[in-house]
Amino acid sequence: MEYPILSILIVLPVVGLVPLLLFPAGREGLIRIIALAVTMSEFIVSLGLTRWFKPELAGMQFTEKSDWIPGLGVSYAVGLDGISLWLVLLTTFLVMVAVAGCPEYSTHHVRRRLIGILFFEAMVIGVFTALDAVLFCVFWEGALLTIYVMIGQDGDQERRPSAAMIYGLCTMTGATVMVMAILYLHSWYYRISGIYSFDLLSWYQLSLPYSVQVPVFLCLAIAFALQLPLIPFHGWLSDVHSKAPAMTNVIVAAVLATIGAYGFVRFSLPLFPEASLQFIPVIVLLGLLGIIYGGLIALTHNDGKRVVAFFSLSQMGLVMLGLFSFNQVAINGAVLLLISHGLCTAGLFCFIGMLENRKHSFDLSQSSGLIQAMPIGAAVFLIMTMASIGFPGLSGFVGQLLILLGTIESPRVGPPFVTLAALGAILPAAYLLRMFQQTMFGEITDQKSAQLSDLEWREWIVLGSIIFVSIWIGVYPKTFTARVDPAIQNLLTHIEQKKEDDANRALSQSTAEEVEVLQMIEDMLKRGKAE
Amino acid sequence: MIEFVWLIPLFPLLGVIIIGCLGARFPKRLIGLVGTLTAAGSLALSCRVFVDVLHMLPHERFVEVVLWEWLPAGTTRVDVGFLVDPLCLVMLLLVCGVSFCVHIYSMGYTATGFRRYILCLNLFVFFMLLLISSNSFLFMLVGWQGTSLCASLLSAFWYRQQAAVTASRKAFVFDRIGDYSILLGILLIAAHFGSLDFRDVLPLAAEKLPAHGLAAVLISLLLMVGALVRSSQLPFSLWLPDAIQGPMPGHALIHAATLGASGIYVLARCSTLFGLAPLSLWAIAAIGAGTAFYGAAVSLTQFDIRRIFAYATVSQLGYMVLACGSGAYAAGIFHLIAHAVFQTIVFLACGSIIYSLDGETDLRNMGGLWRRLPWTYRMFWIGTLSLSGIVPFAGFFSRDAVLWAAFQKHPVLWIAGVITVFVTTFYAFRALFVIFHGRNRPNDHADSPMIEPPAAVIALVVLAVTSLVGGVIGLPEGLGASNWLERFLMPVFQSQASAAPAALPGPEVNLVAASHAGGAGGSSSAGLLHGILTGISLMISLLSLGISYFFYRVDPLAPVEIAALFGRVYRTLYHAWYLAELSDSMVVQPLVKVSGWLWRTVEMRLNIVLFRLGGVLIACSRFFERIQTGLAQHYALLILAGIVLVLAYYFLS
Amino acid sequence: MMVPASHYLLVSAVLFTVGIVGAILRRDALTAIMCVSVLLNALTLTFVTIARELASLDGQVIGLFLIAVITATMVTGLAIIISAVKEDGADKPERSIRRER
Repeated sequence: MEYPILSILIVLPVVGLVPLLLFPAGREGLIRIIALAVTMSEFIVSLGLTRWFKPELAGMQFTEKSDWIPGLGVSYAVGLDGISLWLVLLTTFLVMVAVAGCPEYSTHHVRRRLIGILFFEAMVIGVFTALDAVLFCVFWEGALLTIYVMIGQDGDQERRPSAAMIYGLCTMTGATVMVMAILYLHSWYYRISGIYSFDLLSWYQLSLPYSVQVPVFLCLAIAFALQLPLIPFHGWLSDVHSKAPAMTNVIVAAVLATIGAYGFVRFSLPLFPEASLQFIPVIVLLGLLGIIYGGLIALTHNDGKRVVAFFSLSQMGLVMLGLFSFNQVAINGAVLLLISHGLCTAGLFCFIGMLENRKHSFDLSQSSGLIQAMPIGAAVFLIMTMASIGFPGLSGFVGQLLILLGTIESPRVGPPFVTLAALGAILPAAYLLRMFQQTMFGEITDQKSAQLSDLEWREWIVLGSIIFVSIWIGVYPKTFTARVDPAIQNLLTHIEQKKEDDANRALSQSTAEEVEVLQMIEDMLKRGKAE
Repeated sequence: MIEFVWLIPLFPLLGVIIIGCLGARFPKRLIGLVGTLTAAGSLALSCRVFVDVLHMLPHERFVEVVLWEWLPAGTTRVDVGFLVDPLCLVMLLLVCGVSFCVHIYSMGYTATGFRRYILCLNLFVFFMLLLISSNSFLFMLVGWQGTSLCASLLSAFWYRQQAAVTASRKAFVFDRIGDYSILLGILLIAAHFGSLDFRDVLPLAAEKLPAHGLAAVLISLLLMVGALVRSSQLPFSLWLPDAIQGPMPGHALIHAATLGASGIYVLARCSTLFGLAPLSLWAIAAIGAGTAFYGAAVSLTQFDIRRIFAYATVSQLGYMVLACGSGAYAAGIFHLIAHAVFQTIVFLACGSIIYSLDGETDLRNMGGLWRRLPWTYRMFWIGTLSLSGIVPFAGFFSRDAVLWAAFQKHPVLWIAGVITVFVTTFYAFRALFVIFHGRNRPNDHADSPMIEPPAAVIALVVLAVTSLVGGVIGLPEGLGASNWLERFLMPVFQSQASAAPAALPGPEVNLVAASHAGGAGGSSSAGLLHGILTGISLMISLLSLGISYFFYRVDPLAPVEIAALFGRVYRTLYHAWYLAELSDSMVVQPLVKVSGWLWRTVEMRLNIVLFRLGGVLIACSRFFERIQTGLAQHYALLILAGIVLVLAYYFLS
Repeated sequence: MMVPASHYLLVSAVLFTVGIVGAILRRDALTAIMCVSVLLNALTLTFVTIARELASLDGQVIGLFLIAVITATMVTGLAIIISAVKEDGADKPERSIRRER
């Protein structure tokens, strides 16, 4: 395709938010319609990506490259492979869902939020497609800052700066560390190859010594782990989710977490294979802790948003487990689970947002019996809950199962970890079902609940489309895995190749040393004879 | 028509979609009709497939129909596929048949929430049919979890009652634990066999797994735990009786006939794997015998008729498990079929009673109903006779097969089984006599309308006839007849057992091979022994009937006196051996406490740390903010200071 | 006899110091502006002196520019002060110009 489709995807939301700036804050309906139109056209363009994507090619497609700061080697380089394809599509879909499905009841912030979301969408697509390290950092920080602003100015009055402040603190620390690591890598690249370049694909060819890999890997890992979040960097999660409005929740939970995992796939694994292999036990352990800890804590909470936040933590632990098992099937499952997690948390938060919109708080201890007021809503909510739990036929099951199947065959992870990881199958059932039953079943306790209106057709379409995609993934995941497989294959062979190269190098080095030593001994003997 | 076997589960799914999307506008009759038609469609197609398979030679009766590739899990490919073999067919016919009868029955009672009820039933049948006919472990998991969900939804049918909602969640979470166990077993199988298809795993089990090896034991134990949880065996029994909170016909189909049966199905399907780890078979048999007794004993003391027959179900499931543990899988399946039929009759009859008495479920408030619900009374007699295992009902032959297998495994198991027979007959007739005979008790609903809709009666009669004549399919060989069921199922267990190692310790002879090799003439002494044992169990059963008659018809005060005499025993039984309280204090409470503790100590501390950090940041910011005084002159001073510093640096270096 | 350039520069330095100190320390806006003008005049003197030392015309031209700049600055500053005083109506001009905390 000759069209710079990826650049269009990045620029379109930014262009689209200009009209929003021009309209005064009073014309709510018009603003919403424009935003919806922009996100829908963005989604349709990204659908075009799937149509023109060639599944059999393993490398990057739709690439564009032009120089930005030639003196430093910074370029504007974007490209897409099987993994980022689905992540981009997930982003455009979820932003569309967030804009369509979460109308806000405090109308004077609508314009700001919509502008924020559109800008955020542009930044995130940039993150997923950037092939230049500096470009990646720019988009990354752009995304984080947008979220910081969106959380900071909206939400409750009560502890308002704190949740955003904590979030900003955590993630910007990570971003700073990441930038330092990238600059260090840049200097190494110059040292080895003599060229200034931030181009990711050329960096893949680098063979870094182990002592360099470890600290850089750690820095990048911290940055990505703060985003996922991975225990113990998850402190911001529950506060942010409970204080932010539903639309922001969807974005943060569903999309931001994906960024973190993507960072691992795009940076950590290919650039630092040995370090990654070394750190497998640590990361796998953290992932496991996330699964169990998130599950256990979710049992105590009565705030629906916090329950879903800890569910998200739990799922991300499982994703990390899958990613770091270095197994084709497991990484496939991890990507699928990422997509599924995005869909499920989006659906759950959208539903919570719809309840909030009806001026009803989602406090589990206060509401009950809602099924009598909204039967269709309850049915939809049940399906979303089941999808999250991992009910077969819906998306969560496929992702979870592929991860477990792959991990048990992986020699580095093995059965004991998997036994604990499979607990991630039971625990969500307990607390998510509790959330569902406590709100939907039982007697109606207050008058407000009795008067809630059922889902409107607009909300129905939004949730229905999420369920539709979830069923598609659950019943026929081949559509998705077929395009992801070559990319994963590429990654794994690349890692194997690097390991072999390093082993060869070490071998040849030691052979050279041996030859030297033998030579020295010969010389000494000769001298000894001569004397 | 075998290629269209995938239509069999599809009919109920279609029913779900139609009723779910359009049903809000249908009148109740139409909804019931749609449900019945889909059930009829499944039944008809199952019969057709069955007939087709009958025409095939016995060793060819394994047809695999694959629809599409589901999970492309590297080398472990999983398809959406169906395996048509004798075991599957038998279960298909059973499930479709019972479903059909229950749907007809339901047409007679259309109450509030009818649409939700039919949706629940049909969705359940869909998943159950998927479970039975799947061709791989993983695809079976789909049906497995789906049935669990629908069962728990039915328990929470009357969602306004907190007890129902709690019970439904407990059922689901419990089952989830079973799911976890089975999932681990499946993962181990995938790791060892590289495939999850039944055709790839089961016949080759002996080659790939060393007998008595760790892998075989682990896999069988894990699968066993999952199946036992599903069949509500000890120590996982507490979810089933509590779960009977919804409409009784639904529970007839789901809990009585099929849900527990799915556990037995797994045990039967994986017979080869269990064969490789005899330890697991012993465990299964022991647990089965223990649960059979437990269920019967507890049932004796209950007053809620739903709980009486829920524990009855647990007890009968124990018999089936016992049969499987003894290696006589065909006997287990036979008892499964017989139990499904007679237990459905009983549950449906209870449904009629509860409905007619306006929701009354307590035994002590019923009496003298035999005149007012005549047809229910007659069908209840037949169901109870079959449950007690009286000749010539199906229950007699099937239970006899189970007991014979138990005896061959170990006589102690037989003794336990026979004791349970005594208790079973006793509680069954206790229920019958107290509900239908006796004086009218107070709060008797003397003016409630007693309805016996024709649809309900027809369904009950069909089931009763099946129970009466159904024993024919499993008449034992030892007594000179030809055991049709066992021979039909033999290819399944034999092909799976053909590779089983020859040296198995202990007396659990491969029953199938033995009875077949024995033939008609070689086991006359075995036949005599079998006859004697059968006679003993029958006599005990009749004796128990007599005692029960004495206790509940002749001298109604006697049971009260005995209960007072064995006070503590009685109380323990009444509380189901305190299983619920035990599990609550050992599992649930600690979990909740851990969760709360984690939140308080870990998460809150983390929060505090982060907030302190944030506070530090804000404090720094406030500190530096003081430079912004707002006075232009201060800014000018700062500029001056800066210039001075720069110049000083320049001049001094 | 020519006055040595250093004397001019000294005067200019003193004027500069006076101007800066006055501009910073003075509370009264009017006086502060006057001190700024003193400051700029000192600058002009410095430029012209150095120009004469180096026998170049550039410095003198800059001096002319500076005079124009000084005038413009003074005019604008005085105009602002007057309008601020008028608006506020206060008799303490420095209060009205100081930004509210």
